[in-house]
Amino acid sequence: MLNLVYCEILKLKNAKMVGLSVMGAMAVPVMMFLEAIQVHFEHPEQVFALADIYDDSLLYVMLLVNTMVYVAVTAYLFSREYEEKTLKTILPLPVLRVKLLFGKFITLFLWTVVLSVVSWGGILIFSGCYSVVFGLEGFELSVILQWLVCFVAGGILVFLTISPYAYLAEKTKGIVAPMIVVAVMVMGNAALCNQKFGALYPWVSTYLLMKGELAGSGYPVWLSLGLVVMLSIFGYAATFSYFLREDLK
Amino acid sequence: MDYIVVTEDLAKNYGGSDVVSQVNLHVPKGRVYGLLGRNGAGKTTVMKMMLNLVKPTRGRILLFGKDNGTDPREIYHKIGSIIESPGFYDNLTAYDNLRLLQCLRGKKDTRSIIDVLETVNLSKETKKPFSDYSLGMKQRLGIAAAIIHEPELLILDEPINGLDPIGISIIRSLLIKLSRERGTTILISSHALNEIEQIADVIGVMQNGNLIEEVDMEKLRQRMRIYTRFAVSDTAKAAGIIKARFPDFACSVEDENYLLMNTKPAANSVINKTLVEGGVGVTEIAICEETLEAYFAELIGGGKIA
Repeated sequence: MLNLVYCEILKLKNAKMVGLSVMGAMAVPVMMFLEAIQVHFEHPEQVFALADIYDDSLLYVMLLVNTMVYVAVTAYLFSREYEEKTLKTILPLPVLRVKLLFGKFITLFLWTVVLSVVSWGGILIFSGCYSVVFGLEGFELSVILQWLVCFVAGGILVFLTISPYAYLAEKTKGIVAPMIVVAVMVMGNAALCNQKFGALYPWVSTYLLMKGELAGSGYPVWLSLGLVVMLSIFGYAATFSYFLREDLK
Repeated sequence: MDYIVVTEDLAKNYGGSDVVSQVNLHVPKGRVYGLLGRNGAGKTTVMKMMLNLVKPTRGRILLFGKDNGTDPREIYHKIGSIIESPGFYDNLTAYDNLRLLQCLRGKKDTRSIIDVLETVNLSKETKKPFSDYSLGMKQRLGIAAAIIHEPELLILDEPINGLDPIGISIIRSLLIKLSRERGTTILISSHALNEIEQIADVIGVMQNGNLIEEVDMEKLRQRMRIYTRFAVSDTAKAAGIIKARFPDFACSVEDENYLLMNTKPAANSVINKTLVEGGVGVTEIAICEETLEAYFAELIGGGKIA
């Protein structure tokens, strides 16, 4: 299996998608930095805390910007074999189809976690710059590490909810349909992130879980998490089932 | 005879209609099998089923004597293939694409990559990504990928598409060498009938999803007619003379100036003399052999392969 993951990573050599996804993951840190500077000049008396910046950015990372980046990565990983017509070269090799898909999902998992760390690191770097120039409260190792864990955990939770996009990319053999669907879903995220009903919307409930607000939503935590798990299993099952049965016309 | 590929009543149905039906194909060990047929005859679908890219609706495929679904790991190590235009990763170089395929096979040997790139004349393209390759270069990389692991069976669907004459000649020599020296069994389909004619030992012809003929090339050559073509000044008059003086020789008129006759070469001087004495001018006499293309056109009821 390690060999297959290595092969998936080798496929990404010189791929523009790698750079684009890193730029996408850096969008939130840049936005947060620009917002902090704007607020500083409008309200010089206001002093930010590092934890507040991380806390505010979690919404963008888990529900808006990074979600779209993760789905773009998913669609790229699962549709490129169709778009570049490489399946007819790869499938006659003595490798099981199920292992090829496992290799892709593991690579997606690693990519998602790395991008979450990139966003975390970007915020850290920009906050460091801000701290040097304007001052920042709570710029401490314990806070930094606490939010590293939070971002990685958030990335893993988002990874669980994007498996249906892998199926969609496979089924439509392209990146367009998943991107249209995620744009709609992100609007749903924005609408429901402040609603109690969001606890039943798997893409929002993971965010509420990381914020520690899931229990306060009024819905049973097991129900919210159960929906996340069911969505994830549906995505995997549909992706594997389709790929294993598919005829390459 | 030992067969490397055997299909038994192989069929594939799409949307209620059979695109391949009841195909019983036999590819002998160590020989080159040319699979012919017009577009849509079902050649590619048969090859895809052999490679597990498409699942048969009915029938079964035996590769190396084993059902192709039983032990894919063991069987597919021995096979190299190209199906239509080869597909590779656009962002990777030829070397990296081949390294990836070797890696998926669980092999880490890089010497074979360098050697095979030299064989197909791509060793100098070290930095160019696949997306910048010409059609011919892509095709040559496809052939490199098919032969890099020294397979016992090559399944090649239109492998010379997009190649220039020199490229075709190189690949033809390579395939002949693989078959004659290494004993590689080759199943090849191509629209270039003259190429198939030069390398194939056995021919299979498909039409409308059926295998309508499977014949040894030697037997086919014996079957192919040798005839004489006379360029004459008056074909009607010449045909009349031939019918009257040589009733045993079949004769037909081609175009306005040519008369085709099933004769023995030794009889040509007598026929020539008779025609000239009968007042017919003869400007050319040529001994011709029927081509695979003519045989093919006759077999499928007229029309060309494309």
